[in-house]
Amino acid sequence: MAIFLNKDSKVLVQGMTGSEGTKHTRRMLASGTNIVGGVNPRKAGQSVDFDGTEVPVFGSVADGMAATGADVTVIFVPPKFSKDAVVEAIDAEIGLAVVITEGIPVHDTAAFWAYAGSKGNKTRIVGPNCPGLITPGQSNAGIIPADIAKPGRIGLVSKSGTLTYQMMYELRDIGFSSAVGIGGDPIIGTTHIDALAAFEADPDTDVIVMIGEIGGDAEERAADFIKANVTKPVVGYVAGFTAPEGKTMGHAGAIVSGSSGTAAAKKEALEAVGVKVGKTPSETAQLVRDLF
Amino acid sequence: MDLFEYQAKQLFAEYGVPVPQGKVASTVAEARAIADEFAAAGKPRVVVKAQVKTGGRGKAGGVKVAEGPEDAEAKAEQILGMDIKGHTVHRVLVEEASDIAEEYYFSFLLDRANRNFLSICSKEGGMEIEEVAETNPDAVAKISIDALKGAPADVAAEIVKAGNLPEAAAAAPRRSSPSCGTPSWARTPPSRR
Amino acid sequence: MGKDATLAEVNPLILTKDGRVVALDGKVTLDENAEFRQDLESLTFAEEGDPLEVAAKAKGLNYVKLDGEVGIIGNGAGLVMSTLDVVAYAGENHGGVKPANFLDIGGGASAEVMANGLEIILGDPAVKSVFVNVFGGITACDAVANGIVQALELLEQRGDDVSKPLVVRLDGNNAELGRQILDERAHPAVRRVDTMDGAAAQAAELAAK
Repeated sequence: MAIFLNKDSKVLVQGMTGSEGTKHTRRMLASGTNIVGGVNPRKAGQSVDFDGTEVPVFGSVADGMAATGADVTVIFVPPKFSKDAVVEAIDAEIGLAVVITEGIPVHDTAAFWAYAGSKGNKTRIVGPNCPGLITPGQSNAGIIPADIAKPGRIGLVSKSGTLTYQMMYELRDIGFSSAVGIGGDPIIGTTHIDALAAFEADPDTDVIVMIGEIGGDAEERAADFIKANVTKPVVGYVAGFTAPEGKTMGHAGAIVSGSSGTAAAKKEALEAVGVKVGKTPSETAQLVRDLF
Repeated sequence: MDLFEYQAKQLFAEYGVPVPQGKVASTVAEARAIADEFAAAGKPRVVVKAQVKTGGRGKAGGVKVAEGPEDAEAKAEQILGMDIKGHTVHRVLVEEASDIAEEYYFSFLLDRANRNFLSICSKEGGMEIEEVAETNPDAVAKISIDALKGAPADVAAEIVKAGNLPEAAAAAPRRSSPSCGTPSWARTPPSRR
Repeated sequence: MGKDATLAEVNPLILTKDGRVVALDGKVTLDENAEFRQDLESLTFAEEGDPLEVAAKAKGLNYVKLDGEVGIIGNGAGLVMSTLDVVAYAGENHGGVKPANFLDIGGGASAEVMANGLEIILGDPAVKSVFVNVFGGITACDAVANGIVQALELLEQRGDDVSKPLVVRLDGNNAELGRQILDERAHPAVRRVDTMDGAAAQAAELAAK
């Protein structure tokens, strides 16, 4: 089953003909993802050869969906054009839009998020500034290396790409049902809470790992959600205890403002609802291991 | 990226938000020249304000009222080069002193939790808003701003009403900038998307 | 908001005795991601901020100066933040040494980016040891190892001092190959440790000496 993505997912790639899009489309195909097309209005009707697999290019997301039955789009278009790309995906009412692009102005993200809401939230948005999501052995929508971990029963949700890879690597022998990188921007579509709810409902997931970092109060709100709604064991990790106030640490959303958004407050909120929080990634992995 | 106060005010002025008249100076002589201009225009009383990107400038002695150009020169001398919480003062803003009748608080900000924008306002101005929110929460009004619509006239009026701001606050910015508060993308016709 | 502001604060907004509404103070934060459509450059000054941060920014590096002794290079914002924390914990056992900086060299980790990063960090007089923490996800570790070796050679050619100890941890994609490359080159400054916690402890210990 897994969450949001499975072997039946039919995936479009917006920005497939760009350099990042091409590189990662090749990787997604190699990991068995059912890529059914690319989207580029200027190259509609053409096709791109990926090591022997011909992938057609459509003029729009709607055209691609009509021709292939696609239900997922992965977006690699540059920041300047990302809002238009996401709006196009929302207009086409595709089920899942995964926005990989880093550096989208937050006003644009707020706009496409509000736009999705005004259209009845028919499109789940993951990202932006995220590595996407993977259901090992089934499908891979984004840039998470497919060969890190085998399929298994851990569900992972993380703001950080490399910490996702690190955690999957540490627990590669136990394996993952799905891993979702939700992104490090101040405004993101799918949140920790959305992923927690989906993993709670997923019969293939036994243990949930939640990785957070400084900035905002998403982890605190996730803690409230866990207390009220999650029965499966959750193990947490929070990065950025040593981050100084007022400095953006790599991710646009990773900033401690005054006394809010600190790692200590997030850890405390999670522990208060019974989540075991590791001090380091390896200690976190060990806490998960202890549950199997 | 945070702006200096004088840059923020330039931006406000561009959008028709009234700000006190003033100019920025990076030397004592420049500060004096600005104060001379104000004195010549019949406004000898000026405020010399340290331009640093940190709070608590007033408490640190970085904001001083000067009675006339000579005093302004002396105050600029004191403030320029000052260290405020690790920030060296490279510039001062010299502006006309204002006769304050009432002080309010007003802001637009990103609301991460609700994934849109928020306007916060209060009739308890001049203090840290976090402090007001704690000691007198009823005095703080929060109005959610639709990211697709921005803050057109009706929303502005609602903000002013909720925060008990003077009615002139809703009217003032729009006089010279009808699109103030409306995000640029919200004005993009749908056909161009 | 047409300027991509994420904060516009007026405190106080005043009513003057003659009935005018005036913004007496102003605080504005602009979104750096909107640089492609906003003029942010004219609003910034060279003298602002730490000189190392200014130099790093000029090289396109994502660097934040901190006040410790262990220089940090890693790939990915989350992993680097986590590295800072792990070094700070390890430092508790070694005279309280702390991370000297945040530096995320991103997914690519090419030799040139690595060299630029090392140059900034080795140029920080507070740095006593360096911890290079790379997880090979998209990037393979052999490419990263080659990057480190070439970066050191590049810096030596430039006449920079590269004698500060460099603790390197490579894990993930092609980690074995990467480790082999470092072992073969056997640079006197480089020490290879295969776990993040172990490497952090060693970097902290070296910085405390």
